[in-house]
Amino acid sequence: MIAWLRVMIKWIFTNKNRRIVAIAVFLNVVCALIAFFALRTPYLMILTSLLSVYAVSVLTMERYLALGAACISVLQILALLLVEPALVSEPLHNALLLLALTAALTLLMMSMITSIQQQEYFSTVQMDRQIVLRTALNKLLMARGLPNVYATILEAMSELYGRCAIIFERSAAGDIRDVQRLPEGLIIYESAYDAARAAFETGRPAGRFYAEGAFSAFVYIPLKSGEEVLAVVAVLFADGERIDAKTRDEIANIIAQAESALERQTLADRQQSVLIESERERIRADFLRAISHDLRSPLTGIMSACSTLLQSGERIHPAAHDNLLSNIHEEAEWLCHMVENLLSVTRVSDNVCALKKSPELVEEVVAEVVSRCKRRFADTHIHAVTPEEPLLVQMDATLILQVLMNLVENAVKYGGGSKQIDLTVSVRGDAAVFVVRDYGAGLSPGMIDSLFTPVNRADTEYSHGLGIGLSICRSVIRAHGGQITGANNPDKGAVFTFTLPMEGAL
Amino acid sequence: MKKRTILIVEDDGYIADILRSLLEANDYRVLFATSGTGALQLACSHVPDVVLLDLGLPDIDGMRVLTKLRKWYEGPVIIVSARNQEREKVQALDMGADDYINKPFSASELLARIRVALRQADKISASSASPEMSYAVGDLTVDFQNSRVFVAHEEIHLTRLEYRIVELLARTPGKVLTHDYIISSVWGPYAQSDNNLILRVNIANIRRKIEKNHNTPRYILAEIGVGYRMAEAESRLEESDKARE
Repeated sequence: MIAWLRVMIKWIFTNKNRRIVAIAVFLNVVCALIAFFALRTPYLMILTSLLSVYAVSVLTMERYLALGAACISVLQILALLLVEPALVSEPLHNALLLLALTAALTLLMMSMITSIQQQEYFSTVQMDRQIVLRTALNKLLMARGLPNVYATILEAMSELYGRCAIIFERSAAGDIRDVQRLPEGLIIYESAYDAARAAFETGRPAGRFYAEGAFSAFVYIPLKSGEEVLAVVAVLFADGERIDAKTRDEIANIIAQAESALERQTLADRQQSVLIESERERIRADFLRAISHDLRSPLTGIMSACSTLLQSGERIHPAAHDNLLSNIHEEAEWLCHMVENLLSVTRVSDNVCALKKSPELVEEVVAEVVSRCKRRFADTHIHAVTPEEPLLVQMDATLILQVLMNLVENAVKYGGGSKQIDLTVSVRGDAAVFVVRDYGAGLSPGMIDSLFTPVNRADTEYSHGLGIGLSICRSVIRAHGGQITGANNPDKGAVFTFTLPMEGAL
Repeated sequence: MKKRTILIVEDDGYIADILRSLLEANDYRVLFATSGTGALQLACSHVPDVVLLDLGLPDIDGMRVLTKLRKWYEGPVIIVSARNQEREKVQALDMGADDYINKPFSASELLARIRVALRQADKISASSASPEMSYAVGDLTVDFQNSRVFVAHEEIHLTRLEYRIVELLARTPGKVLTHDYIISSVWGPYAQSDNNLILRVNIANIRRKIEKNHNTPRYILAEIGVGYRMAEAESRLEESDKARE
């Protein structure tokens, strides 16, 4: 019996609704008992118990609880009529009055609860919308980069109003083009561009509901920064749809926020470009310093050799005389290469289009490197390997020759005593891979990271030209869409590798 | 033997002085012009054996000097120009220049080019009566009469087009022939010369047939961005340069 009761209690208390019903019944009974024993008035008793249950139902927002309470009250009345014979003698209309009262109260309760619940539902919807709006606005606040700002606007339009939207931009030439749309598959008619142009030109909204571009189903809202129209947002409206004040305010809010986001963005961009400009200025200054340094040492050498020859040419030993002359020649030759390198740099950094690319036979380029090397470094042997199949690669041959010569020159200079240099060209995937390898001491670990920056050695002292030569190599290879790397061969010496893309070669 | 006359057209006095001392030391008679008009007058009055023409002149464009000169002058013209100006060189070669030399040049290179040009000129005037029968350089022999090519006395089988390219180059050894010139001579004037891939591929194939190592060609030498030249028989440019430096 007790176990059965325990199961029953457990069953009741494990469920929220049952718990509420149990509490209601308990309250009902307690109130009824208090009213019965303390006040001795059955009507009041029923009324209080009924009210207590209503209170619970209102507090818990359960319509059916109120209904249940009403039913219980009816049963109670019937029970009282049976238990209390005195009541029977009372006129029946008293009981009927009570029933009517109960019914009226129940209905009132139920309608109250319903309306409260509805209100609550609406307020949660409102809250959700507010949240979406707020997140959208926040996102706009945080958005970095134009595409993100646009995407946020489009998402807000879609989530808040379920509307399709497009972002238009105007190019410097005045052409209108769509940059983003949501959903992706949205079809844009030619006329949309005209309406967008109207919005761009007038700086006022256009499209539906407006004089300009009324033919379009979209409303075109300009995003302005000051007087300048940065972009136009087009929002789709259904046929015959009216736009209510609240929606309009919200859209205006989003647009305002987007405008300030865009403004911030342009401001940030401007700052960034100032930063980049100053950085570029710094690099240029460093570059100039490095060049001047590099140019000065051979020039001083040449000048002192010349003045020595002019001053006391006859008294110098013929062998020393020749030596001075050949030194002058060597230094001058180096200077000449340096200047050629610098010319190439200006050519490459001015404009990528300045590359005079044409398909070249790799073996011819390699042969040219070998023959130039023979002339310049007579005692160095270049072991050249190119594919057996003729390999044509799109390149600006003069510049690539220069890159190869710079690499070979480095290999000669840093190759230690070794006079062997390997120059290998192979095909890997859709790129031609050029490898220049020496058998010298290799690169020091600190050098590898900053090999290709022009001024990596403000503090370290070493023989001239490497930094600028390699940075030129990098700019040339990058302008060709390739990559250049320097590393140490696990075996011995340094390896420089660069790739040239081969698409469109044949 | 009579001293050969060289007309130097160069506006840079410093370089002109050097050239004069170099050429006079090598037994040439040297004429000087610092402007295009002066050059044309001097050429008219002296008819030099070789003209060394710098394209960057103060008064007239070097190209115009070349065209005017070519109207009557048949001797060799060597263009002096800076590196990286391949287009200009090609244009000059197509307009009748015989050769070009890159600034800065070594003395030996310049002398070698002048020798080649003079020899060419001599050969042309001599061979107008009887054309050459064959050409030989190193192990390579081109037999023009029978249209055959030998390397170390072994016959090499070339396609008809390949042979025509080899013959064209071997007829004027040492002289640079531009890509366009070779294409229009071999494939005809209506061939698409802007697309010289076909020439490249043919040259690559020839090289694989006649050279020992295609990375160090000895016979058909590429002038990158300009054209091709056949190695010259007696004076090897490369070797003389090497010996000098």
